[in-house]
Amino acid sequence: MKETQFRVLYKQFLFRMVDLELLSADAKGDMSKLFGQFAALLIFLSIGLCLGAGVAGGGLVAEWSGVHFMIATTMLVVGLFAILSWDSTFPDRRDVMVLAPLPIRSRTVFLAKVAAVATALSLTIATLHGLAGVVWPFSLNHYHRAEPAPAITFDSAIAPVDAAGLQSVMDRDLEQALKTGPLAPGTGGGAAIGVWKHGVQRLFAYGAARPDSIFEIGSVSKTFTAVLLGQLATQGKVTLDEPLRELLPPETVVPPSGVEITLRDLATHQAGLPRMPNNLHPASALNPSAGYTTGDAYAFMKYWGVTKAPVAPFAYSHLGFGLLGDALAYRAGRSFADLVRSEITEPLGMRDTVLQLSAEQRERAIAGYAAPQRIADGIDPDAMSGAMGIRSTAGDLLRYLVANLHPETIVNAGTLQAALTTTHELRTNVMPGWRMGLAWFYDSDTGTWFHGGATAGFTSYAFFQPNNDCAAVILTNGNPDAFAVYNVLAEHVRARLSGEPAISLDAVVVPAGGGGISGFIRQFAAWWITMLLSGAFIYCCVLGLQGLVAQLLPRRYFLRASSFLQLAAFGTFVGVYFLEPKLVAPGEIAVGRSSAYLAWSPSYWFLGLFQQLNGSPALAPLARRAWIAIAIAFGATASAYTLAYFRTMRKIVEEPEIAPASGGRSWVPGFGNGFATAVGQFSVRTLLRSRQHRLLLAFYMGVGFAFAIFSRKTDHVSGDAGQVVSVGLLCSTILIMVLSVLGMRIVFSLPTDMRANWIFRFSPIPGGQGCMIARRRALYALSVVPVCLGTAAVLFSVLAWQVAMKHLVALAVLGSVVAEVCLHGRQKLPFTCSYLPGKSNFNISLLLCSLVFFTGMVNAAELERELFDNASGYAALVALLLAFAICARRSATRFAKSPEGQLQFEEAAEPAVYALDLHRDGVTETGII
Amino acid sequence: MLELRDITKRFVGTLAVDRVSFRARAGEVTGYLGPNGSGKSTTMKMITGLMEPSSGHIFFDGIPIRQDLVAWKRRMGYVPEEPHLYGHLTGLEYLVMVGQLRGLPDKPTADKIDGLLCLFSLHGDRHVPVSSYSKGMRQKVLISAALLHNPELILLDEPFSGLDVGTGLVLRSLIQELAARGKVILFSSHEMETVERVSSRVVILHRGKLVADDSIENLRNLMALPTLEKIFSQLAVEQDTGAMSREIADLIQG
Repeated sequence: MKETQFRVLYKQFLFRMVDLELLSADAKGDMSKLFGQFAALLIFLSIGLCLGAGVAGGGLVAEWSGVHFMIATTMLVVGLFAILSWDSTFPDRRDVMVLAPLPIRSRTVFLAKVAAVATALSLTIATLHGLAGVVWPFSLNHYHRAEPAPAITFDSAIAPVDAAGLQSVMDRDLEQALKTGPLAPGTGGGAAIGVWKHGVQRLFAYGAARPDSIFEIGSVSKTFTAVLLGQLATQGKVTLDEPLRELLPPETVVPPSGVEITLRDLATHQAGLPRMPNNLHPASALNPSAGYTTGDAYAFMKYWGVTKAPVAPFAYSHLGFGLLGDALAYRAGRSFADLVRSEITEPLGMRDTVLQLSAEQRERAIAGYAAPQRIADGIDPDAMSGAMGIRSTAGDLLRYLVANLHPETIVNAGTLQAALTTTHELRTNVMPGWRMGLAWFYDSDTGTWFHGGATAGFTSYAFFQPNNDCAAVILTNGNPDAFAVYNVLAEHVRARLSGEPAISLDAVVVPAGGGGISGFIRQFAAWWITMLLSGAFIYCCVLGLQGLVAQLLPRRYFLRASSFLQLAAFGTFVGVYFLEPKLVAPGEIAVGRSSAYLAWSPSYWFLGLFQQLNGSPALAPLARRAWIAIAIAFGATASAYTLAYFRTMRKIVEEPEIAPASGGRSWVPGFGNGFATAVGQFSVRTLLRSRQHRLLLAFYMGVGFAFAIFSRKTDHVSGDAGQVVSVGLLCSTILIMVLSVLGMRIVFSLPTDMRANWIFRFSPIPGGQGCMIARRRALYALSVVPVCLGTAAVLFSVLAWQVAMKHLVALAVLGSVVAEVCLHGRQKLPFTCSYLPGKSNFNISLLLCSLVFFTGMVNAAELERELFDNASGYAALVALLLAFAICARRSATRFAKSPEGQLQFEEAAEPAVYALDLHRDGVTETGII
Repeated sequence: MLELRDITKRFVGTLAVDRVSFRARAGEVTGYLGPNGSGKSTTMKMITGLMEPSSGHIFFDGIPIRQDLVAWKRRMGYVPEEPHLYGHLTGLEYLVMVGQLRGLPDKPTADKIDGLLCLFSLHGDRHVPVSSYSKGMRQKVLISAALLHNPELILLDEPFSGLDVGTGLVLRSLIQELAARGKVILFSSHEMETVERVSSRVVILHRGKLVADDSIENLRNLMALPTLEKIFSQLAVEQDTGAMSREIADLIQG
């Protein structure tokens, strides 16, 4: 008897897992079709995901990024599944009321529910990984080679080390790196370390480096440019608040009407300039700024302008410091190299700190490595010299750091003492705990002034700590992405000098795949366990959250909060998926901000778990977090179900599900005549109060916002971000507008309650024209207008108002073109007319069209950007769009006036009868009497 | 006056309504009766204009209703049997929306809605979503919505469904009062006693055909039966109710 009950309930719960009403409010009898579509979609996705398995054998960065992508995608899919099955995970009022009168034990109901949830979850993951779950393990097993990776563990803390004792400590800590790691004999790798503490100085080197080896110091050069700014400012040749424009050749840029970029803005990364200019077209990725001349930089500024964005938060910019170096050199009437020599290196006696090496220095210059066994080209930064062009030795840089640490000891160096002090005045916040002076960053937690640097073949790090009276410089000849140890070396030295636990410099070896059957079985098992656990973790998080809120809130408030939680969970899943770093080098995982972020990113925990299950010692701390997270999530879910077992069932019966009364204030505006107002206000209220419609719209908007986030990230990489209109910004707003209108049109077509639409049918609704007006106003009010307002808020805060206004006008007209096209065809009132589920052909068409649309959109955005400076061209563009809008509007209106354009409540053109269920007598399920 | 003249509705293989003709006059409450499947609901849909007759015509004050359906809907109020309402709207929002759909002026309609909500004891719950209303409260909203525009014809389909005794008595008086004020009222119910008390005239359908159209008094005299229930049983109920109930009881007992 109990088994039969369990089986019946299990089947019912399983087929009701996905909220069919969410997908279609009228999906009677189409359950199998919808499930079929789900499965087809996931299998299609699985085939696509198989293609990624080609990264196997491409190195740890590619492999880890690939596996992480698969884990993150699994978590996203399961997260979305959790959202779709939001109301089916716990017994609800319907379950309780229907099952309570029947002779069924609560335990049976719960067990059937848990079994259905587990089955649905497993099926989702199994469908998604049906193919990928074989291809990926096979590829990894077959092609993965053994490779070192950071251990991400900490050496135990020892007492603060002094300068004299540091070398012996480092000898011990670097033991493995010197034997088998990047500093081992024959690798070419080397590191030079300079340390000064309480007046004692030591210089020592490892591997191929010598204490006097010359390295590229990369972005540590920026601190020299800042000192130059301090020098010229102290000498009265410039002021910090002087506009950049005044230090550029005449006619380079047009004087702006708004606030101008100043030298202080450039020296604190607050000018709103991109990381790199977008007219940089490097021939070699290893020497990106080679051949980029001062003329190119000026040409970029002519295009970009010198207006400072109204809101210009910290944005790290090589271009900004390159320009600052060029500008100071122009004002001083000398080359940047001359200026550095006369103002800094000569007074401080830094003979080996130069931009161009002499013949003797060239002999001492160590070769840089872009990857193991791959020597990098030397940097040749030209116009970017102020950002990254200097070469130096550990000894010279240590002298420079001591001067920064104790400017008062500088004698006979003119204004240098004051200039250094100027660079140490804190001027802005970078992030919580980080502030900055001119070029130098300041960690307020440890009291450390610091700056790092990296070029294609070198890594550098310089810091000084006034509170510890120490300074140190660490120079290595390897790219930090390729040599994990180099990225953590400086942090290790700092921790040793301060007596803190130091991140381990040991590397662990990720073993090779093996290639055999047993290796495949292990990879296969590790893959599936990881994916199932990562999916279960996300699902359990959702369950735990729901269960907790259900316990804390009275039932009626829980029901209201639940729908917003659902939307918030959707935003979180999509946001995290698109925002979190996807391409992470092993070294990045170990240190700095990446480390802090990744330590809290569940998808990276499961990457660690996958490593652990595969027998790799890498990422063990992340794997540990994964196990803890699983234990917590599973525990929370078990608690939630237990509490639901004992309390929620009773709460459902005892507490009313009456939604709390609204405030009674009617804030929804009128939409013109009575009918248009009725339709418009009904649409606004339905969208605000209907969970299924809100969520469906969120899916469409989510795609738009995801693209916006993605393009913003891409802009920063490509140097296309900032105050000038980037193509990414234009595309984002265009896409959000188009998806908003299309999404709203689709959401409109889903009825909120078909049986209640009799009131519209029964009302004296005006003809086609009147309906068209009402529909148009509702569509504009809920899609075009909000997007325009939101876009205006963003554009006016980041762009000059003229440019913002121009794009806004074009965007609004484009929105009306799309809206008018959407209004064409059969007339249906929003949220009231029937919708046949399974009409996914529209979505597929949309998907295919979007591929074409994306290409066209980028070209259109580029064209629009070019036309911002061309008044007649811009006017022609807007006129063209306007002509489209007018034509589309006339066409839609003409159709609305025609007999075919009359309002239709039913999807089918000629219904046998109106399935209104107005009267039960003789009416069957299909409405036939 | 509402007049149905030889109304017929055919579906594939089924004759749902067969040449039905009757009149509902102003000042009268016309009871509209029939067992399940008699074509009552189909006729109601044809009167509301939601369904087109296969043949025949429906007139109101001598004008065919299908000549201008929009104008016709302005003159008619309708209380459906099932209280299907948009649950996410509050009672007040729903009635305001109905007023707007009917093109009624804002201020007088707002006052009228306020008055109706007070009289129906819904004022305190006017900002609560309809989904939280009881069946009786929903019925009150439906009645208010049907009467909001002061219609000339009122179609009532089981209007007492879910109402408490007090409100039911008020509604009964209200129907008679509206009829007395010259409205045409077509009133459908399965409660014979209520129909007998409220209606002056009844129309009875059976298997799609009209089997009675007269005042209750005349029918009583003509058929020599004491109550409307007996008349209805005679005309439209084919089963032997006693025998059927015995069979059911026997079946349950096994």
